[in-house]
Amino acid sequence: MSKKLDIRGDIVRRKYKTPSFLPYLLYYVVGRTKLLGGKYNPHYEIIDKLPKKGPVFVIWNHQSRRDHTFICRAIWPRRMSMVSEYNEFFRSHLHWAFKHNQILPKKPYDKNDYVSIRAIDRIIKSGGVVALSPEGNSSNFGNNQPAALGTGRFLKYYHVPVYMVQIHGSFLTNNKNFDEDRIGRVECKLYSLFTSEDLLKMSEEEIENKINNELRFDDYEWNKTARVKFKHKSSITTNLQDVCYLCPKCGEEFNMVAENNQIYCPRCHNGAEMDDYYDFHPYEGSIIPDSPLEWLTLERKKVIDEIRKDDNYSYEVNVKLGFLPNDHYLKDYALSEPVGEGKMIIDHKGLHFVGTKNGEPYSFNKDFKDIYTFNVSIDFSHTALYEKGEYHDFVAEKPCYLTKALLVLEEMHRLHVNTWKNFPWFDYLYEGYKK
Amino acid sequence: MNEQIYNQLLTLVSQSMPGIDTTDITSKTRLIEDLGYDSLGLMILVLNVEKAFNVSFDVPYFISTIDDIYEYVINHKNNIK
Repeated sequence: MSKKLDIRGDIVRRKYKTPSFLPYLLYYVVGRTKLLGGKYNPHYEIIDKLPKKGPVFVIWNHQSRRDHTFICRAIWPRRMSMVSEYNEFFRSHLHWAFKHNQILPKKPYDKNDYVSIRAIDRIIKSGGVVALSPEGNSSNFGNNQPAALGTGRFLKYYHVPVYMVQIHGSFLTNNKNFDEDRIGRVECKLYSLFTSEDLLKMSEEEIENKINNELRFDDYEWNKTARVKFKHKSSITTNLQDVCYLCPKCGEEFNMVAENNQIYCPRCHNGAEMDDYYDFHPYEGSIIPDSPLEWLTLERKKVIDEIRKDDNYSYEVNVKLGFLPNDHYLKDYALSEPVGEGKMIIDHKGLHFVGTKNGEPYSFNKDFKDIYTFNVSIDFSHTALYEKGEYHDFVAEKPCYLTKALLVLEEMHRLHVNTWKNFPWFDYLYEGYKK
Repeated sequence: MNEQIYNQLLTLVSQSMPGIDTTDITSKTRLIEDLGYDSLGLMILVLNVEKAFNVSFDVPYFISTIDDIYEYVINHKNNIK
């Protein structure tokens, strides 16, 4: 009789190590061909090579789910153990590759994840290379987000050399609006970011500030000068309404339509066409931001205004709740299995869920000290968080409801706690409000 | 409660995360919310507990309070050093 699968237990018990040469070589070779990384037209600039031996952290500005292949190529011949989201270990199409490439599990934004740090600890103490994204997630909107809390303390504690791979074009190749590979060009630059001595000398805050500056990117802005044309099979605006949910002209929310390379408001006919460079061409008389990212900033500004002017503000979304299985893998690219439903509420007191799980009443509350953003794995049809170590996956009727929930959560955290600060270049968003 | 184990745990809790204020710590004190622990601090604590008590955290186990670690040690120890 075969042994019953225990995925959670396997993740905890696995003795993580540097990947074996042969499977990794296969991954590297396939990664250079048109089957995988090669098809994205990557270009590499190697300024500083990794040392041939010894522990190293490699960090990068995480633009898309395709980044792993670029990192692998940039740091070759060193073999890396890459950190990936915990929930990905439960997906049937990934678990084999994850096991053989010694991928390390991480519960993004969860302060209670000693299993992940222990896995990383094993690799570093054995002289291996760990590749991790300080942002904790690939880019949601085309730019970087602040490094996850504790990044500076973590790197200072290990004080081993840190190398940076700076990427451009990967978000526009595969983004969270629509999971389609759009072939254009990707640029990667590898360089030394911190020596061991740097990390010992610098404060945790100085380390995080430097990382945030090095991670800084805006892929739409990059392509204003790079002028890379991205080939797409479907409409380039597919699902753009999930991110650009607010009509900049009439102010209506959650009603934008994106189709046929266009996005428009059916109520006031404000809209634009988008070309192969991701540039908007507004209809005559329309009010359209310069890029989807600028559009998102407009929405964030509105959320900031709403929550800071209303002491009783509350944002509610009806959601389906999904959990991870333990005795079988998720099939058909699923991210979770449905276990219940309920209401997600974000108000000035925190984030709350009230509903059911497996037919029983189920609820929890989270303080803004303990949560500052959601984990968005693929796109906004799912957002997730960890409660008592368990992955909670939320699905709403429209993905844009969860996009707004993410903005409300981040800005409520910044209003009430603000340990996960926005970047100084966004200070203007918060001007004019009482503290 | 085994006082010896509990007191040893308290020492490890204070040693595993810098700047911890150990006054007023009880078995119900929450490591993250009350003491400011993070994942790195928890990992250091877990490694220290494994070494001190000859136990292995090799099953999924959610640690919230000092009580949780105490329970794990009591239920999993092979022999106390």
